[in-house]
Amino acid sequence: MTESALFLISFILYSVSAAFLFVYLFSEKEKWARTGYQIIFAGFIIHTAALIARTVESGHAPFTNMYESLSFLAWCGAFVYVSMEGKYKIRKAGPYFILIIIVLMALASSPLMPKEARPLMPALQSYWLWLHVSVTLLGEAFFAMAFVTSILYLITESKKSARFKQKKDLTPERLDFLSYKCIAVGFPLFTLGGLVFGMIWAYKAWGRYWGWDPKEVWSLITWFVFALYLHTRLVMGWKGKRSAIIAVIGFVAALFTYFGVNYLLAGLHSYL
Amino acid sequence: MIKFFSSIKISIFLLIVITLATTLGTLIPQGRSVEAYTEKYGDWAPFLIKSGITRLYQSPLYLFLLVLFSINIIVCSLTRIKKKITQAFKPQIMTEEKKLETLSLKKSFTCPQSVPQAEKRLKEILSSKGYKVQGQSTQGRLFLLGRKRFLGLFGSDIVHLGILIVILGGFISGAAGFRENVALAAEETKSVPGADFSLKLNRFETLYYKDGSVKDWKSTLSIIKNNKNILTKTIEVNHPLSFKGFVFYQSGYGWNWRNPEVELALERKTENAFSQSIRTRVGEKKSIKEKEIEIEPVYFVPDFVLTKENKVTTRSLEPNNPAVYVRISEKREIVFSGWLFLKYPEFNTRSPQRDSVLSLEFKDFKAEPYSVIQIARDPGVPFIWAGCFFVMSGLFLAFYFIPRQLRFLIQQEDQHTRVSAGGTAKKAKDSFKGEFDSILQSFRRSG
Repeated sequence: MTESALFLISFILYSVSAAFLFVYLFSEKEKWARTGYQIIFAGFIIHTAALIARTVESGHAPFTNMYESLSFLAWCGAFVYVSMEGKYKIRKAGPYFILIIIVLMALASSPLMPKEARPLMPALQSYWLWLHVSVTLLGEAFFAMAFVTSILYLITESKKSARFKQKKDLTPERLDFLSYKCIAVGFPLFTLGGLVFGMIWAYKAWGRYWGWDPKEVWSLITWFVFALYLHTRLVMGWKGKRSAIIAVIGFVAALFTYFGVNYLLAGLHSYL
Repeated sequence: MIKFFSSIKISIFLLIVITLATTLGTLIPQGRSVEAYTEKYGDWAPFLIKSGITRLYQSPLYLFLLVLFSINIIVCSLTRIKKKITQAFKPQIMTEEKKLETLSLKKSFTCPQSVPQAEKRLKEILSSKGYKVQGQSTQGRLFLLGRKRFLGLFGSDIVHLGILIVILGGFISGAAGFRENVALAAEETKSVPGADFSLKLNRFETLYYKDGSVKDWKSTLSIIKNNKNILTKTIEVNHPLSFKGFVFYQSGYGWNWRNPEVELALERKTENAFSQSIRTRVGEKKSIKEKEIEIEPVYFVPDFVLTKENKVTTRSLEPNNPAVYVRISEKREIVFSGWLFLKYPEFNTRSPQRDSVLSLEFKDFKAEPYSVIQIARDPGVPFIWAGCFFVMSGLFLAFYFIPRQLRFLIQQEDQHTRVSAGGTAKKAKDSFKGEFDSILQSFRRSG
């Protein structure tokens, strides 16, 4: 099967899974959640096959243009969902997070994104492309999950409605805990992939490890914001609302690093 | 002063200020020309330039912030590390029952074993789970402390040490690092600034994909010392050459456009008809027909474009629209002068009177390609890698090597032995609770 067909099937499976999980959200019937989880798991496997097909077809890492990179980020999101659900049972935060995956898949399928696999320009021909991009995007996917749980925290906290409190896995404490867990995984990954691997590759390709290129600066800003999250939380004991707000700002910074820099600020990373 | 710098609030404040300052540098383009700023910001331009905002990350103010931040990190770490060292290497083993009850995990129960039996069994179980056990007994009461992963206590300190080393490396790079681009044509040798050797380009080639886009540039470089070839290596993008602290990168390419060779086709269809192809360099006259006709390509531009003032210039250094200005004289009288285009001959200048007499076409050109090599020497680099290593190891320790402590008080109580247990593991309560319960369970089962 071709890459685009596999991509489409995984897209459909993600959407169906989201539908199941939303039904679960309102019906509270366990079987919907279980089926939804199985469907997204299947979607994840097929999406993996799509990425492998893409790699074989193009002969290089499947994240060298915006289409590939969006699809890969969605894949990272599916990975984060599957693993977080497996470990922490995030069920009711799940469908909202899958919406992000679906938006990424939709953006990737948009006709505005050039899809043809083009040969790699000289600067990208390096195994650091694999290491730098995959680890960074995986870290960002964890930030996205922390974003969803933080937003849900802010909503449940502000409503303080009994209806929300009833739902066992959506208590504000649990959401706060989940946000922290995601950042505890995402932060080291982002540091390693985005900053450390990025510096090593920049040193190999451009002759300097740091050049204040807008993408570099914005990944540093993202890193600062999450460092702020960790320090206010672990040293000053901030929790809940203030932590959630910082996590949201951090994700917005990460999002800007990923998208905004390419379109709004010119720099060396402009090929992606 | 120390108290001021050791406050976490100052750290948070500095972190926020540095984040905002760093953001400012991406809102205002960095390192452009004065004209570019004047055009964009008008009256604000002089202020922006003088205040250092246009070179923000190199500005004294930004560097000062980094220094303050470093001092803050050092003071914060030092004031906290003493307690951590005691905690890690000289832990308090005795814990009274009251204290045990305040720990996040706790349990108290009796067992039929004697105190020494219970001690032996607990020690076995704890060791099998990877705990280092220390004991102390007074007045028939036995205290046990089991710990593991206590290196994790220093995770954040190791991260901070790494960050300091990275900042130090950055300052060293800024102060002592140097970078320079040199253009080398094949067989050309240039001395390397600050080194006792020279760099020679043996061969330069551009590789293309089938679709015509560039696949790679390869330069075969030699290090020449005292006229001897010490080392030869072919470099390409992502694969530089390192030699004695210098690194040579494939950073660009270009052509020498000063005097390329051009091929012109000259034809006369009327009287004295002839057709001839001429090869000559720009700036060199060539004569044909017993010197009656002289041809001189005077100027060459690789990417012809007209400015608003109708002046000829080149849009880029790529041969996108090569054009040559040619002057022809016959019997010392100029019969043609004008631009000829390689790709768009229909735009060639026509000589007004003698159009039908002489026709001229620009057929081909050849310019020497050169390779641009970036020579870099950056003594800060080892610091950066060492710093990164510390940051990553520290992050791993801080997040995934969380110290676990189990405290026990075992004492005789009537016919039984009472065991009181307590445990702490910040940041990893859930998984630690599982272990805590399983340890106590296996102990009670054995009794």
